[in-house]
Amino acid sequence: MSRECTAAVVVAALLWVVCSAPAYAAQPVVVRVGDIVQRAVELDGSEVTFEGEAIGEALRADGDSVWVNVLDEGTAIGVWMPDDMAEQIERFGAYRQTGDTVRVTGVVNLACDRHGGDLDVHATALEVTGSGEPRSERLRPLEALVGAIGFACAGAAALVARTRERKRFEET
Amino acid sequence: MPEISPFQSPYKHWRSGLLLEIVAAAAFICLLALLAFVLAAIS
Amino acid sequence: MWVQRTRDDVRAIARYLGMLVIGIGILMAVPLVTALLLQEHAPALDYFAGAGLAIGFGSVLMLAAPKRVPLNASNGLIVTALGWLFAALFAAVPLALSGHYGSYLDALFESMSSLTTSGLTLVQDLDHLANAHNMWRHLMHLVGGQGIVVAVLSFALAHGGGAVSLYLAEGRDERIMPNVVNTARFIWFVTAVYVLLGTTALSALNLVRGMGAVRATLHAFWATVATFDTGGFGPQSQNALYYHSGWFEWITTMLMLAGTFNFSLHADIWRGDRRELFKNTEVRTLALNIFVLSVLVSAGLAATRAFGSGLEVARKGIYHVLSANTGTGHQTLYAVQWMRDYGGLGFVAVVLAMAFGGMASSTAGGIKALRVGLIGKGVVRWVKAALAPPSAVIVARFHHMKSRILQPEMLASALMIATLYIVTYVTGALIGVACGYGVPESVFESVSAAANVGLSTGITSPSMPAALKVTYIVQMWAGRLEFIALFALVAALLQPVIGRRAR
Repeated sequence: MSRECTAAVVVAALLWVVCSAPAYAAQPVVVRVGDIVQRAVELDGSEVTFEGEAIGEALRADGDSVWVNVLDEGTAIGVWMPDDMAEQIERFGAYRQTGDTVRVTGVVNLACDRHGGDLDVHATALEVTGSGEPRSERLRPLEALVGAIGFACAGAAALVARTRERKRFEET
Repeated sequence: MPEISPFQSPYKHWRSGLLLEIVAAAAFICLLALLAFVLAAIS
Repeated sequence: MWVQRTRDDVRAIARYLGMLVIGIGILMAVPLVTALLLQEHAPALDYFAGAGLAIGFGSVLMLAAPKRVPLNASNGLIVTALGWLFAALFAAVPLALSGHYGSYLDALFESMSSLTTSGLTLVQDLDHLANAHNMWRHLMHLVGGQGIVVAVLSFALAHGGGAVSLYLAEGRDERIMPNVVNTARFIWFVTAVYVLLGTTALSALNLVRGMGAVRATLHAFWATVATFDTGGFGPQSQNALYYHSGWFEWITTMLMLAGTFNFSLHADIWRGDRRELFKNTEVRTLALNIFVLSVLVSAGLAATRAFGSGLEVARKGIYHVLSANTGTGHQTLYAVQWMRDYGGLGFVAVVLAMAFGGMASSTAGGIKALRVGLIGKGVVRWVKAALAPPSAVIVARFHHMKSRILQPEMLASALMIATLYIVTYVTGALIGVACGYGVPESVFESVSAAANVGLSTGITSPSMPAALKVTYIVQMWAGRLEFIALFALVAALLQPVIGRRAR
């Protein structure tokens, strides 16, 4: 469901970019994070726009900048941005919750000279387009039963072993 | 030179041994990084 | 001649296997407690079920033989080979229940990769995986790295006679101290010291960078375990690239080097024999090996012209050579980049680094520097002998704790195991090619699996063919045990056939 939503958003964004931009020749290309990694050589140095889930946390980089890792369909990429840009993000994806969906515009670096040759994106704009939600846990009672049966077997086996040892001790 | 017996306790000088290992590892990595740096610069 | 295994042998093997499986079940208490503390209820149930299954099965298996049944060396080999398989089979259960794996086979791949400190992974949506499951994935690195049979059984067998044969069977062929229990204790002492140091340093780094206290400590512990045990897992899908930190890379490369140190060497240096660090043949071989490969990888990366400065070449090149040569497998490049952006000399150097591997009696994989060194010395001796007059006696010396003369049997065994590794690398690559992948990436991935490294070009993914998953599982298993135990198992299983023919 959410994947279809994201797809619809991306398609809409694409249509918007293609149809409503007669005046702007240099609009950033809309891509998926996977594309950035796959087409890094071609996209190196160009500005792109992509959407994904902010994960983990904002990690402090040098000065007033942070790293936010953005995940989209199994591929995540590091986005370097100023502090105040990252402050818009409220939730970061982890076990307990999904992170905010962010729409990032930034420059792709195949081997970033500023950051030790990493493949990264330097953000020029960030917009939160969807807020993250708590992830629910699904408890399966059957697992408790399996565990309990296992421990019961262990108890029974220990009992058998003890009576056997005692019998042998009495025999000798 | 006295050989050190394998029966001697390895806990006896563990702190200085550990320090030596850490310093040696750091020095080795620095050497490699310097080497890579120089190679990249001349090529 | 082939030893006929009696019913009593089988019973003894079953008992020790049962003990081991119980040990794996007890270890699941760590992720279980983690889950309870962090209120992750579903994973807690996964570990309750996993632990129950393992402890129940193990207890029943232990009924096969009475207490204090002896274990001879030949049966020890079988227990070791089967022990790793059984451990992986049971360790996979909670992972399979997590819902983050495509199938039980994927979970088994993960547990085998984790226990053998390889680091190839089939996990899906890792960034939303529970802390408890990450704890288990990394804990298996720790237990597997130090030798799972030793880890579990050295506590259970403190007074028994079986421990020695198990210790030797697990590819830890040197006795650091005269007694196995003391040796195991020393191994754990070294591990504890380094894990404590690494966790402290990385926690501090993570805290400074704005992680929450619990998360900072957990990430630090996992990264430390994954690098000191030369494993290669990470709690985030980007692996080491998640952190975007030169400091992180610096600390973890130090831990990788410490992890690839021979435990006998640790012991010797910690006894106060500092010169050993510079005289030891294995240290020299490994240093030379890393040095030469660093030259190759730097030249290769510089030639791609992708990097703007020498510092970047150093940071990417040296990190990956160390990660590959020590058998760790942490990556700061995306998997596809190895083939696409940095192919050529850098790629070849990394494959060679993985194939050679770290030091013997460490947590590293691959052929290992001691064997490479001995083979090198052997070649030199051979050439010398060819040039010398027939009456001359030429001996080759090497230094490993003390000055020794290279005996033909040592050379033969080093050559044989090196050959077996190469055969395994090639076989895995052939199967990869047969599954439709290109030659270079198949070679890379196969070497990575058999040498327990964990670097990937992207072949290892949940969508790869099941046949290839099984191939890599077997490669990781065989590579970690250095073949002997596995061959003993195969021979024992083929016993009825071979035995009949011999008669």
